[in-house]
Amino acid sequence: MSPRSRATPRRRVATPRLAIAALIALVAIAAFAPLTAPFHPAEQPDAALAKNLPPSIEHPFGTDGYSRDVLSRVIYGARTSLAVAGISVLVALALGTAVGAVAGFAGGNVDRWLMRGVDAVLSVPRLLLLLVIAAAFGQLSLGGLILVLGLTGWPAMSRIVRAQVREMAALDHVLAARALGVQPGRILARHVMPGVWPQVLVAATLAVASVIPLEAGLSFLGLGIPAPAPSWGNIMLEGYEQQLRSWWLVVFPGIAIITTVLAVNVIGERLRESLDPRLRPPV
Amino acid sequence: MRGFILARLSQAVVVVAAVATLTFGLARLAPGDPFLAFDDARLTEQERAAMRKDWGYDRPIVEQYGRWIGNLATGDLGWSHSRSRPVSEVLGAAVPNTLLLTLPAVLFGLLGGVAFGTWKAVRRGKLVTRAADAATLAFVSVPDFIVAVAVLSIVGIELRWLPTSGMVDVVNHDSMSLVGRATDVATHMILPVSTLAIIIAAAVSRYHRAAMLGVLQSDHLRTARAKGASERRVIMRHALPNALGPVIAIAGLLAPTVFGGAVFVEKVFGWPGMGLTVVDAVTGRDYALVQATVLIGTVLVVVSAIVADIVAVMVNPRTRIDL
Repeated sequence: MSPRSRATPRRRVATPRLAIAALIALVAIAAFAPLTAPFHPAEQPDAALAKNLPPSIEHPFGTDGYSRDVLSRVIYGARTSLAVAGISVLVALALGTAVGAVAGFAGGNVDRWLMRGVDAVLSVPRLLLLLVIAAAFGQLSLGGLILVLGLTGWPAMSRIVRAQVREMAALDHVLAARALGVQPGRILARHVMPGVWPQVLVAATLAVASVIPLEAGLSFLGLGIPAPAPSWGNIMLEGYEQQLRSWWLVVFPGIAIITTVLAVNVIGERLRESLDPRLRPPV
Repeated sequence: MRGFILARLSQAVVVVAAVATLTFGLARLAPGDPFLAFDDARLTEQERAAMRKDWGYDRPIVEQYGRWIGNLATGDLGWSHSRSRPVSEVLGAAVPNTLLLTLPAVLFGLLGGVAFGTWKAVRRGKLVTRAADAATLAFVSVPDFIVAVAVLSIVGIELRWLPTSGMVDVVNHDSMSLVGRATDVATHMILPVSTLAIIIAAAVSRYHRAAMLGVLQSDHLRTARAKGASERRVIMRHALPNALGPVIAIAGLLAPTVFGGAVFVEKVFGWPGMGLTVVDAVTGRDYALVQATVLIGTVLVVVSAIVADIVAVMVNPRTRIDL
């Protein structure tokens, strides 16, 4: 028996109902943006008279410098931000799982060199990598941004997968499968990876929570989602460039970002706690 | 110990060389070259070709790469097109400013984070600490640039307590006495430094709390209590030092976070450091400046990770690794 299993009894992890509900609501509002948004995000009702209006019944989140409805832009921005985060994490997940599984399962020199490479990439701040790419290629398209966020996100993922694969591969049932002459690929797929996926799920959730601020931050610097398309970050950029006089341009997209990241973080934390009893407070 | 430091240093050299190669390769992979970015219609194609020749862009790629590495080795970082000055001169001004911002922020962030994390671990399960845990999780969910914008708009613009932009009072700084100038810089530091320090403290406190929770269950604390040590002594002398090792190692891993945070803090508060420089350089498509800033940033991050590793080993010999 491992010492972990005779530890003191722990509280059960409560389901984060509020966070899940908030996230589902957000995704639904974003997915059905044409139905949920009162205006088209690029519609400029009156660029002279209706610009920079504070929140009102007609424009609950106010209007921006081009008289566009901020609520509609925040809703369409949710679509962009969530899609960018979701797809780029999937890219990072696929690459990270492949590299981590190979390194962890093969061991030896393969492991040593792959992980040295990963450590090298990890020691460069991700934001700096993104800035170099932005400088070299100029304004990135939406697809380019997703690709770049995915390509800079996998090293962290691969470390987690590798650690978990190594732990699983050392277990007796894997040894038994080896002794029975099961193909290594099959051992990896059938006997190792099932024990790795839960941790990967946690890592992916937390990765979403870190890539949303990253995309928003890049857009805030004017280097992320290109200007006419709305994203939470570039709406805030406009507010910042107006010397923060139109507070609604900063506050509402800010709340959207924080709510989303917090919900994802809470879900990720709870998942992690439910997988690792040591993190839970005793009964 | 010497072997450990040497191994880490050689690893660092490899990383920096890899980044130098990567930034070079990216520029050549990308379509176009700096002489298209000028977008000056008056320039004829012949003139552009002449400029390419002047700057060595017509040479074979291997030669260009060799020259770039050779120049780096001699400290020549290239020419900043957007500032019309050598890159080394631009960065010579920006790097100290970034250190002036980040070093105090890291110091206060670590102290605050360790204190806060210890408190949350020792008093765990109580209503206050659970609220504090939730508040910390909520706070780390707030992107750095939003924290900076919030501090700027509330403390700087609404309350008008402190200067919000730049490093000095542009109008009066030069006519001030030495003490006056120092005070001027110090008051300009307060908002950006505290913003960055709070961001660091929140992250550190979560790691430190987890490390403390692990240590608090160990047998030697029970022994210490059985021998009649006061609770204060048990925490400060027996638990805290054991949790500090991992926290210091984590602090090294936080270096990219600190640098990333500095980019946004500098941008929002107009602090003339490397972050603001690199953002402006990207916008101005000044690739040589971006390249050099990223390289120096990488060196700083790698070096701080090594320093953190060494300190962690010194604090806790059990973490000594054989590489």
